[in-house]
Amino acid sequence: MTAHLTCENLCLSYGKTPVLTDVNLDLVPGQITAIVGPNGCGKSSLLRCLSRVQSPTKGQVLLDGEPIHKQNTKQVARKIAFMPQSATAPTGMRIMDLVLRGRTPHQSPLQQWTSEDQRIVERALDQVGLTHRAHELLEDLSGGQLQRAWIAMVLAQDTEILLLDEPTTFLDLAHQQDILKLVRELQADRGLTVAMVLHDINLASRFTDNIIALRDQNVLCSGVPQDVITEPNIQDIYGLACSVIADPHHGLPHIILK
Amino acid sequence: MTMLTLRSPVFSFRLPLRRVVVNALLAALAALLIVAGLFGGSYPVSFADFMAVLNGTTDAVTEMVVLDYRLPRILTALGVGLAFGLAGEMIQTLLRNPLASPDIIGFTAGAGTGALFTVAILGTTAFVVPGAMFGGLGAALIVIGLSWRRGIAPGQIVLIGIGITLTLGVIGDLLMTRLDATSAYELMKWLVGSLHSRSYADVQIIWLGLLILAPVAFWHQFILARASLDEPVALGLGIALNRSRMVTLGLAVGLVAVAVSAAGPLPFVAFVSGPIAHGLNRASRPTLLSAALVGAIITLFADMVSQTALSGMSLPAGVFTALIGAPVLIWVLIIQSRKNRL
Ligand SMILES: Nc1ncnc2c1ncn2[C@@H]1O[C@H](COP(=O)(O)OP(=O)(O)OP(=O)(O)O)[C@@H](O)[C@H]1O
Ligand SMILES: [Mg+2]
Repeated sequence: MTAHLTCENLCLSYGKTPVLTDVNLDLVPGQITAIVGPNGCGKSSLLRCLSRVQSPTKGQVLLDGEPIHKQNTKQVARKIAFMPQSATAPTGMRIMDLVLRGRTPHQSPLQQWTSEDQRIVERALDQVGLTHRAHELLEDLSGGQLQRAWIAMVLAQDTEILLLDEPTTFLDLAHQQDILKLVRELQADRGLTVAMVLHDINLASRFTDNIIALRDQNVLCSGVPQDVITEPNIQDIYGLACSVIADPHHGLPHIILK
Repeated sequence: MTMLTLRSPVFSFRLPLRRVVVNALLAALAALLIVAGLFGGSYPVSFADFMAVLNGTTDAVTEMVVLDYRLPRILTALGVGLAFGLAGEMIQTLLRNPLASPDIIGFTAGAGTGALFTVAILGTTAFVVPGAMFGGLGAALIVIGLSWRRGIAPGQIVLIGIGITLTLGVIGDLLMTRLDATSAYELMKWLVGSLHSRSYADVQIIWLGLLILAPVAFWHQFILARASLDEPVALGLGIALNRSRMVTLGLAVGLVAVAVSAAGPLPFVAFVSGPIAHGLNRASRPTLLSAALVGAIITLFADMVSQTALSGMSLPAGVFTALIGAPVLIWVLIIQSRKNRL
């Protein structure tokens, strides 16, 4: 059984400014969901609430039917891994140190490097292609390498649910493909549930099962890529005129801006 | 980087070889300073003399020098150095700012003022430890409370902490005016941080405190290393962030309070130990053991220098820790302002 993450009437305001109003959603277990929307529409805020890093102002997030904020945070961390949009690490950390931090919910002060930890950390490093740089300092890495190090950290957490905030932003085309293919592989092989914020609609179309579009503090539309990526919807979400065509390789919706 | 893997059914650790070597060398250096402090100095004591003292078969003078004078002094210096080193490393790691050490952000000054307050008002030294505890805790609460910005704000803590340290200095001076000249002079020396004529009462305070707090601090190191990650990352990893911050601050205040009670607010020991340990290990923080050992080395060394003829007269050890710390402070300020983090 894979873990099931939903939210009910979720409201969030920072001070008096509302950011999310009565959001209801259900991350389909074992599938990949993309969260899209214009800058500042609340995608990161939503992901933070779903990962219980942020308490909602009203409403709740349910993990397997139970309010997530009432559950033991270490137990939750064994089920959900969260990668924030822009995290910085303390100075002096090496890639290996960071990835090993992902093992935290499985560790204790006495058990900090079990053979299981070692196996999973090495696997995570390999999955993002950083094995040979494991001992480099984080401050010496390029933006893309750094991002892959952070992804390796959440992979090392070895959870059923992955919440990734813009995992592809700093990556070149090839690494964007690599990461999204990796996410697809994890989903296919291990039945992971993934929600990630993506800005590239065409990538979302190609690599995800569902798309949730946010606009004006709420979900504007959601569903399979074919249903969400339509000319009127793109107009509503971004205020942009475009044509949607079927991409020649996979027949999936592909937008071309006018 | 050579890594050692230690595994058994009950524990498993991944340890850089470098850290083992660094800690061994630091421990050796501390041991060397202890030996030099016990046997050297203006009244040299041989190892045979020392053993004779322990067996109770020596002349009264040697016995007095070793047992009443040197041993408590060195034990106090060692304990106080360890405590300041630990406290500094914990807070600097938690707040991810080298300026955020207890002696800069007011915790040490608070403990000093608290202790001074009990002496000046109650006229007895019986309540120095609780006074230092309350003072340190009070200063910590004020600094954190005033700097609170939807959470702990390291930059604010540093600025407000410096303000509190200065304010407490003035309060200390005012308290001092209530005293007669002799006690004011003694307290003045204590306020600079002195290891002169320490007694077994001081040894007891600092080592009892260490015995209780240090094991908790080392146990807490695992959480501290994770609580110092960005807030959403730490929370996502299942760290109870508020609790671990409170534990860290509580431990640091406790360690500072016992250290201040035993030897006064020795300046800069807490501040320099962590960065030096960090530089030696070239690893991410915290490195509690190394920082504690560096603290001990600095304190023992300052104490030794303060006793040599070099200074001409008997200056309190705090003068020398300040002499070591001030350039490091300037260096950190320059680095920080280059990084635009002030
Ligand atoms: N900690 C905060 N305090 C106050 N306001 C905030 C905070 N975090 C976000 N906001 C505001 O909430 C709104 C939503 O922010 P959020 O980061 O969720 O947007 P986003 O959709 O992730 O944007 P982007 O695409 O730029 O990452 C923005 O208007 C932002 O200014
Ligand atoms: Mg965002």
